Amino acid sequence: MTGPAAFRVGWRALALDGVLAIAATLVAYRLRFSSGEALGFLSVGWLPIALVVTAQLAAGWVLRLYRADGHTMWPVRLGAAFVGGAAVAVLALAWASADQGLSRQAVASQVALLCLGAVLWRALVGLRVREQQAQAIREQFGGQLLVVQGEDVSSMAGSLTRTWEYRHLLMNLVTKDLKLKYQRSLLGFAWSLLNPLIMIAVYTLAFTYVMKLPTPRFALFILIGLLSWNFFAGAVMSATDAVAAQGALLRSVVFPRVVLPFAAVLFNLVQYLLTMAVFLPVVLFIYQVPAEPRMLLFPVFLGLQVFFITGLTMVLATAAAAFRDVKHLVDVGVAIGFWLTPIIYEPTMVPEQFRQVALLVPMTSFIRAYQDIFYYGVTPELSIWLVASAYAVGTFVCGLSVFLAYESQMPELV
Amino acid sequence: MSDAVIIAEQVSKRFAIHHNRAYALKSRIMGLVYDRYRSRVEDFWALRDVDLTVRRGEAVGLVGRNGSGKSTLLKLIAGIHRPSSGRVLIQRGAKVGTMIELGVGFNSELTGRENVFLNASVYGLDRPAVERIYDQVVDYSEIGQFIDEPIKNYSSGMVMRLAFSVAAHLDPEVLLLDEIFAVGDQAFQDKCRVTMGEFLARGKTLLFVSHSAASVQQICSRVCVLSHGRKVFDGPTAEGLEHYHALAEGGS
Repeated sequence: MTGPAAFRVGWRALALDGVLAIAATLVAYRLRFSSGEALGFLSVGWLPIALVVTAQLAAGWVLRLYRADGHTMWPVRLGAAFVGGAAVAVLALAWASADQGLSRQAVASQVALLCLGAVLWRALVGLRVREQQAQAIREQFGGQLLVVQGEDVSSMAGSLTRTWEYRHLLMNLVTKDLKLKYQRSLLGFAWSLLNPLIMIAVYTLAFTYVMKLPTPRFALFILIGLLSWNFFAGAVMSATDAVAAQGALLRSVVFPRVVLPFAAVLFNLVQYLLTMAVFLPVVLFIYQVPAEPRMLLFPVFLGLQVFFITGLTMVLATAAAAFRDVKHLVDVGVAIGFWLTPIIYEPTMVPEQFRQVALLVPMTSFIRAYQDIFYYGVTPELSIWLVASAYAVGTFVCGLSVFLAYESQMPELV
Repeated sequence: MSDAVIIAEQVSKRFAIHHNRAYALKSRIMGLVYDRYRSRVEDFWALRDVDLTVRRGEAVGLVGRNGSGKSTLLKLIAGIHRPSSGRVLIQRGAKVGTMIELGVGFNSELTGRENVFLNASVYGLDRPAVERIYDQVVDYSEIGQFIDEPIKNYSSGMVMRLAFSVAAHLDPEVLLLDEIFAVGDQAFQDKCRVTMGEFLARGKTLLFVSHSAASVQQICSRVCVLSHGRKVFDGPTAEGLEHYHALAEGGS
């Protein structure tokens, strides 16, 4: 919800966020503990809790969340301030071993509640400011219905509505890419199957026969991780270029630019689903894995993963429009990420003390969920759910707000 | 001020011209420390405080010499660029069509038919809407049986005709048109002018950027002359073109 100077935030916003932070803390402790216990914890830990809240608000101040010039990309500032502030405070208190009465789990839910509340009131204020602007224009021009060019698409909701109106463009771009990829190639879609097949064969050979990895049913294990990773890597690499490569189009036609990275993600998603549809049943059949209702969780995590990837690609596409070397950075990042994610090795092979941190590597939560569902035959544990959802929502919201903040400059940049 | 479709209020546009522009992050980072890595940025004001009101049913010509800012103004109104100061107001819900550069969304590997569908969707049309206009688009473009050939086998004139034909059948209420009458041969150009005439006869609004005095004279009822980013004349076509010619001669 950007808008001209009318959307001023200052001391009132700071006070409102402060009240919200305290309320969120109380609710979070009540959710975490029974009423008596929560009171006990709060009476012991009020000082560390106060420090956490102060750190959050201070971070918001530093990140210009309360300044009039700070409302571009405010969801990013807000998330960074409240998540980062809490994390820094908790780590510092733990290091000074002054975290008595502080429950990390309660702090995590406090952060979620606070972000939700703070986003909500800002969205409402944004709507009101918009209304007032429209009213001002009506009065200035004697009741004529006029809108400021570009204003309706600069908000997240407005942009997504407009993107929905252009869904046919999205579909056409995806079909075009599929057509161009497979027409006039003899084997057509078979290439998309052959590539992972060879990779799986090579990895299986190298890691089970040569390096003697103890993982049983290795082909099934690696199939799940590798295909999902390929989807991620393919989408991220092609979407990075999506805006930068379309300079002429951007300078001559108006359309919601987010369609471009969306199309890149969707194209890779279609390929991933087609490949999965061929390989997964075959491998499950070979290893005699019975169909279970648990497998219905797959589309849920896939949906979260799509949101995460889309959010990430919006940031990368924006950055690549301004700096050409983002593409090289992405290539390096993808290469490193492959080895930091449990694709070839099992999550339990990560040394005990790093296991919690390892879950925070961006793609890990999603891939671990797929492995739990199809390979280990268990329901993903709560921490995986939380990390995956946080990545999906956080990255998408931040990605969209970064993209929208620079969308109007893209024709000049690329 | 009745029935205004487009209002530009004190619109200015600044472009940053980068000397020694490195797109590279390196120069950004090194530039923080060393001066010589800093890319020098010079401001170029393409437009300065331009006011323009276009009412429903008007055909306004934007004329001026190269670099006078007329295309920039058109792009600001279209919403491609945002003004650096001032604002552009558009009638709520008005469908604004643009013909700024033709055929940029075309893919040479795809057939004419596929490109029509792709290109129309770039302008926001859904599939049923494209199907409704498809036959007219093909007829108008005079492509004939080649429509199912990949357009890399087309002549450049054919591609331009097809692109113009798609854009001409989008049927917007306001059309922003940038100097594209150089499309095709004389016969096709005449046909384009006839189409514009019909468009205006249906009460639609046109904003037309051109160098061609003949086209402007034929189509526009009002002319707006820009010079070095400022509006220097706004009024009837005949007077405006005189003004424009005086400017062109004075400068050369």
